[in-house]
Amino acid sequence: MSVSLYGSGQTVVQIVQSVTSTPFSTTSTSLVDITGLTATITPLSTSNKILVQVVMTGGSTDTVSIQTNLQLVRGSTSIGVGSSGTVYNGTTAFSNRSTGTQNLQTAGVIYLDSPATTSATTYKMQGQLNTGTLYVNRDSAAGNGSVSSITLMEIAYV
Amino acid sequence: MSDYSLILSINYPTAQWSLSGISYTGLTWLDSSPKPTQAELDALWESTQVAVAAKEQAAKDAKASALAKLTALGLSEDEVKALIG
Repeated sequence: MSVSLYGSGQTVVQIVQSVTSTPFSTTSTSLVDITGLTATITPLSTSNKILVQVVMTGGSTDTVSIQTNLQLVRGSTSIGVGSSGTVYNGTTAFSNRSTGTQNLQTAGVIYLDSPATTSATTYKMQGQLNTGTLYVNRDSAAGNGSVSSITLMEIAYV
Repeated sequence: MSDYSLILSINYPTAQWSLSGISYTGLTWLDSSPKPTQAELDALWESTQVAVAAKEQAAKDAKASALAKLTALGLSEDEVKALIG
């Protein structure tokens, strides 16, 4: 989906969104692309900013020791990541499980990026975990399904 | 229909893979071990369901046992709920 709006001040000039209900799961301890959570935008000006909004639902297997890492990536560069983690420094994460419950969790990202380009720029979410299984758009028992989305809004300063 | 994610999580606990969607064609094998065939995974579906049910029952039994032991120690129901939910 893509729309364009024009006005004065700080104006949204372009919106791109990807929504996915495709279940995704992985046991990868290295970062892997999360299917469907990718969106590409071609900025109209190098001075424009891109507001990235991601809403993800999912979880992990019910093991207390699991650490998940969900990372926002522009092109092949991680952006908006933490710096104080001893296991991972990501953009967001699903919380550790402390019980055997299988409820969906939500993780979100709102990040204002300055790509400084007018070339097509791809934003995506990647995920990894230290043990167990990471789930997106489903819980560990597949009892609950959901959707996740990534929305890119180009902001112009006119 | 087989839940390949669940089958792999239970029966290949150390293997690394990604699954996009719910069908075998969405399986990307990231591990150095051989990728199991769809037939091999399908053959594990029934035993996986049994294993998951047993694990869930074991968790319920453990919670009930903990509740009984805590109650026997004199904790009230509210106090036990505060501890274990």
